[in-house]
Amino acid sequence: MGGDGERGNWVQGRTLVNRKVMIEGLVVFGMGILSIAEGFRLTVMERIQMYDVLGPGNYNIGVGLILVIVSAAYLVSFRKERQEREGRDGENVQKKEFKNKMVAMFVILGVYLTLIYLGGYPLATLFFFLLINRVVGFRSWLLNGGLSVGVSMAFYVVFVYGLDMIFPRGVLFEWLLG
Amino acid sequence: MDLVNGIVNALSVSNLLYCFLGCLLGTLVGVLPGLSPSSTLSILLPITAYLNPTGSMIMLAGLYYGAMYGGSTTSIMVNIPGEPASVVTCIDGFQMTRQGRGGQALWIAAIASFMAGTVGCIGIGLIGPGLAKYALEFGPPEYCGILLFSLTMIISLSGSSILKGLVAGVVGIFLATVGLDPLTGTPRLYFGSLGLMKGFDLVPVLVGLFGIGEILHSADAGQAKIYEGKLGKMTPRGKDLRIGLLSSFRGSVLGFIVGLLPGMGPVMSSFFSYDLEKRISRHPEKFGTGVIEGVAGPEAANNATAQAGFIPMMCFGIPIGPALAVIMAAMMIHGLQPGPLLFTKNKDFVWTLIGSMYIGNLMLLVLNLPLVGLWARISLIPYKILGPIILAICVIGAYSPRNTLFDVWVALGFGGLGYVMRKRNWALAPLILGFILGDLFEKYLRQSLSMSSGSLLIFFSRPISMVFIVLTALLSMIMFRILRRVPKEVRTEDEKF
Repeated sequence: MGGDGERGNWVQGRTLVNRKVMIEGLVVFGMGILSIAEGFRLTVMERIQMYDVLGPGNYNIGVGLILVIVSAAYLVSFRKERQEREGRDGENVQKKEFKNKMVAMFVILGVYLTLIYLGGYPLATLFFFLLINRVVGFRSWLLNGGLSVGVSMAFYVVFVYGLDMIFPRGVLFEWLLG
Repeated sequence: MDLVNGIVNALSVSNLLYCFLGCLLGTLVGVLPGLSPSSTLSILLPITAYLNPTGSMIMLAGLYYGAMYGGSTTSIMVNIPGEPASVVTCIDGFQMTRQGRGGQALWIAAIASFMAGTVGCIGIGLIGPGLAKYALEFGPPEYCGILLFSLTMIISLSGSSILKGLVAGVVGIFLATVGLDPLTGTPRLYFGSLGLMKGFDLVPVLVGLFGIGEILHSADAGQAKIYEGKLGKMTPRGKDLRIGLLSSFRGSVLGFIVGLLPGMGPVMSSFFSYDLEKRISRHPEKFGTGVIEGVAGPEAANNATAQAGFIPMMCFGIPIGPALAVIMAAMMIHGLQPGPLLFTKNKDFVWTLIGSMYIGNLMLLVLNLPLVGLWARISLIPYKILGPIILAICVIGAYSPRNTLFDVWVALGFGGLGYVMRKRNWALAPLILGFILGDLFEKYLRQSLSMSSGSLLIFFSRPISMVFIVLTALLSMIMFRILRRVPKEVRTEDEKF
């Protein structure tokens, strides 16, 4: 990578980090405003005080104010934070691959939870292992299938039979079975 | 006498089994580079809810100090610290392995850890109960003072940036306000959701931040390549043995003292010990080339700090790191409130736990020395097998305390948050500390202000609360000064622990 290319990456990186700092600061700032608004609702609008002098509302206002102050301090202190110089092209491709894997795992977890709700724990767990094993590197469906069935059964035996845990049966099954 | 009773209780079959399981799992966690003690403790936390309080705490404590013990194995054998506190051990430990003296390094690391563990246990037994006599003088203002003092830990657990730590800590306090308020039961920040009205349960928050977050982060970072070293002879002899044992003793004492000071973690103590050994050595230039005191001192120090960390945690509710914060959370889940009263109200529990630590240290010695080759091989288990299984256990862990999928979604959300925080160098421990202590702090603050009709003077008119408030101010200033001198990398590593 030539000098211009490196500078381009670096400038791009700096802009990106500034934006990330801005988002982080604004999220915390938003939490502060939310806390103040909730505190205001409880203190002024609903007036829940009873024997409690401070009350839940004033406490939330206090926490909210501190959040607003620290988020402002964060925004001021870190607005110029810079990202380290980007790596070589090969490293970037590898990093992107790892990032895709991470995103896929996160999405699969979300799908897993939805499937537990819809189809029940055993079926959802089998699908979860089939999908996630594929993502982490078990390319052969035969090996993946065998491993997934084995691990899912082990989970079922240990947690459902062994520890007597109660999992959702799945709304689809309940609907089908009436 | 209490200690003897504690050891006798710890020797019951069930307690021995919990202790063994904890030590075994801890060693395994210490050996596996991608898994930290805090994330494993978080993942196991819901499962221990099915055990009795003493048994579960014995197991979790065993896991914690077992991980410290096992962490040295991969540092010495493959130059990858199993947990952050073993970073320093890599410097001379791996050099010893390259010279064919890996066995000796592992032997002295195990002996140093054992010595440190024993010093730690004796110290806990001696110091802890002394604080209990003040317990009866504690009311809401005193607890409020002590909690404020505990919250100063946010500064030292902040990792690379104190401001980021403060932000995370206050966010934790804010998140603790979601749900029913602790005094009047008023629902807050629930937006009509029944799940939010109950508030965030501690277990899914911990499982998400540490368990799911760490697995996602490992996936993003890619797999580490492992190098297999040679063991060579196991027992050091002559001069090496003498130097190693003396360094272990110095490291144990130094680590224990450091562990008593809020704000100091095992990573820092191992660096301090390495520095001390180098300063008093006749051949400081040899450090980094494979000297035995470069392994013995830091290993003893980090283990002693880990063990000593139980004192501020049990006596004042001050965890010195994320792993102890999870153990503290586990105690609270089992209805055991950390604080001076713990030594009087739950005397049997405390002494059985201390007794189990003595036994656990012996178990670890037996587990580590003969099986060291096995542990080194286990570190080769690929991430692609462990990752999915750990994620599935996380789902069960988040679901089990309240049997609701809402909590699993919460864990997933906090998992995403944990990943982003790791990626952007935000320390997780302050957020957890704020979340755990926020609820209690609010309760005692409001009770105190109700007692004084809203006057803040109540905190200064009662000696104990005033002492803690003054200590809070002093400690904050001291920590700011100390942390400015500690290298940023060391602070970041201590946060991971």
